[in-house]
Amino acid sequence: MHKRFNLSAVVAVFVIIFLYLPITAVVGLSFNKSSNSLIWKGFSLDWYKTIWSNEPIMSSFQRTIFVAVVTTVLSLVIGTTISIGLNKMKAGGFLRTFSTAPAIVPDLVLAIGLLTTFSIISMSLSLTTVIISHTVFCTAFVVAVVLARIGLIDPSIEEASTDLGASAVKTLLDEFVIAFFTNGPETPTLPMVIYSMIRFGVTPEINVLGTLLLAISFVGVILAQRIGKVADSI
Amino acid sequence: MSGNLLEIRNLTKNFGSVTALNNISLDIKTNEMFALLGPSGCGKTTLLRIIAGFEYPDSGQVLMNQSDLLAIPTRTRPVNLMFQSYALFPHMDVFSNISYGLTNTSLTKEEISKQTFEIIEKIGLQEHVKKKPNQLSGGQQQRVALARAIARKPKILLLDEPLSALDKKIRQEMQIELKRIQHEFGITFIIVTHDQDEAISLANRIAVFDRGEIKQVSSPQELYENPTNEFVADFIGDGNLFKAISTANGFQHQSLGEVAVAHNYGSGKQISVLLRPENISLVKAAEGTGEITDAVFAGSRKNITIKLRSNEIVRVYADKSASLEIGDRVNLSFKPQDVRVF
Repeated sequence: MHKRFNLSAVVAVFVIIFLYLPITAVVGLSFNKSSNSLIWKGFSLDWYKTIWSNEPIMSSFQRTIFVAVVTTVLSLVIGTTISIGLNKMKAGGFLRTFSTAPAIVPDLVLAIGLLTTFSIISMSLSLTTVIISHTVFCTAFVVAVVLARIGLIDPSIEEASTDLGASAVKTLLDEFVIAFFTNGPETPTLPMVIYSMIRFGVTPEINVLGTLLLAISFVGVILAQRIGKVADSI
Repeated sequence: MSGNLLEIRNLTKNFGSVTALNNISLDIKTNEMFALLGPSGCGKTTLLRIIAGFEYPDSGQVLMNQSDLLAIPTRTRPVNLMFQSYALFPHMDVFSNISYGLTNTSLTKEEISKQTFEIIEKIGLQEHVKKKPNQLSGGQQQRVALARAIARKPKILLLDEPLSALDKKIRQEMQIELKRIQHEFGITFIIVTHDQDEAISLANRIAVFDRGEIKQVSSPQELYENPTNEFVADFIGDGNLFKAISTANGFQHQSLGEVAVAHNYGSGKQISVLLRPENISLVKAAEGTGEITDAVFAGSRKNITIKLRSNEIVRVYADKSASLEIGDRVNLSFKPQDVRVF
């Protein structure tokens, strides 16, 4: 077969290179011998050793993981429930847009709003407020993604569940599972989030952390896609 | 006890200003294969959804064995529905789909497993127990949907357009299969369909719906041979409907002439006359009343289309060896007892 020149494919390749260039730089510089992360002084694994004894990085890393796990669970449950509800209400554009707004408004506006809210209800800033803030933000993403998918689920499935004697709660749980597992491989947000998080750091240890996070995240994404492919039935 | 399992009395349902069901009454007997047949928007699906428990009528009653069916919540009603889209749970395998209804009962795990495997065997799904719905063909998915719907041993199984999504060969297979299962499990089947072939091939009795009303309830043969109104005559089977003027002992039609048929419409009224294509014979005549405009070989017969002097189009099934060609002029002959008037 004669292969045709495809302009959009060429553009896509360039865009991908452009998007991943900063990440490649992070990965490369994590092996830098120099203590200044911007000047290359030869290959070294030193920073991969010292990072484990860098207490501030390690403890913040643990806290980050904790916040991430709790936030993920909370926002998935809340966001999916909102999506199922909105879909059932046949909610119009306003409500839909409204529930995804936190993902669209500038971070700074959301941050000021959250801070003001916490001070009004005299809630001192802690890991709890961090989790609440992240949940507000992440729930909006969950709603955006799940709502788009849930509309494609056959509405008869809910009726089938009732017809077969399931209680309202059991029916909701089943819908929940379907909404979850039908978020198939075409959910692009996670890699986007990962590399938007990785910025140029000051010490090479940040590069190491970035590289490690990147590796963990990629394994996560690949696993999620595998599971998604198996479970994706719609 | 009457032999009626389900008695529908004066049921009315409106959706806003649209009347979906207009004061309908209907009896369905135990172990019947009953079809609700009609064009889309005729109310048949609304009736199905009321029986299943997804809609509630504005007025009227539905009785099962003389007690109020509408008082029983959807979840515990001894009625199950096989959905047109199958509505299988995509995240569950075949076994879990079929056993789903049983898990909502007080049965033990062992008992659920035993009953589920019994059904799996009877419906011939043994090889697919562990598969997910998206790994099955359309025909297999339908078998799973059927198995799931009968697992709770309902008194009535509702089937929404059960054959419409299948291709012709699997349709015929499934048709036989549905009859076998209905017989074996002793469940009353109510089929909802817009497809007369589906209704005729499956059902013992058919209710023909039009715009929220039941036009006729009869066996398929009776509907075909003795329709009681023009809608049924036109909807069921191929037919030729003529507009004629009634006379004291028959009717008068421009091309058919004066025909003697018993009726009680009096004389001088505008009436409709039904003649089935297989009940008309054609006789070639130079001055014939019609001209053949199309003649198509259709295996066991020849399908002839005729344009009458009165500009009406008539379809006739002729013998496959009949020497009738496009352009021939013919006269129509038929037996008065094959004519139906409305």
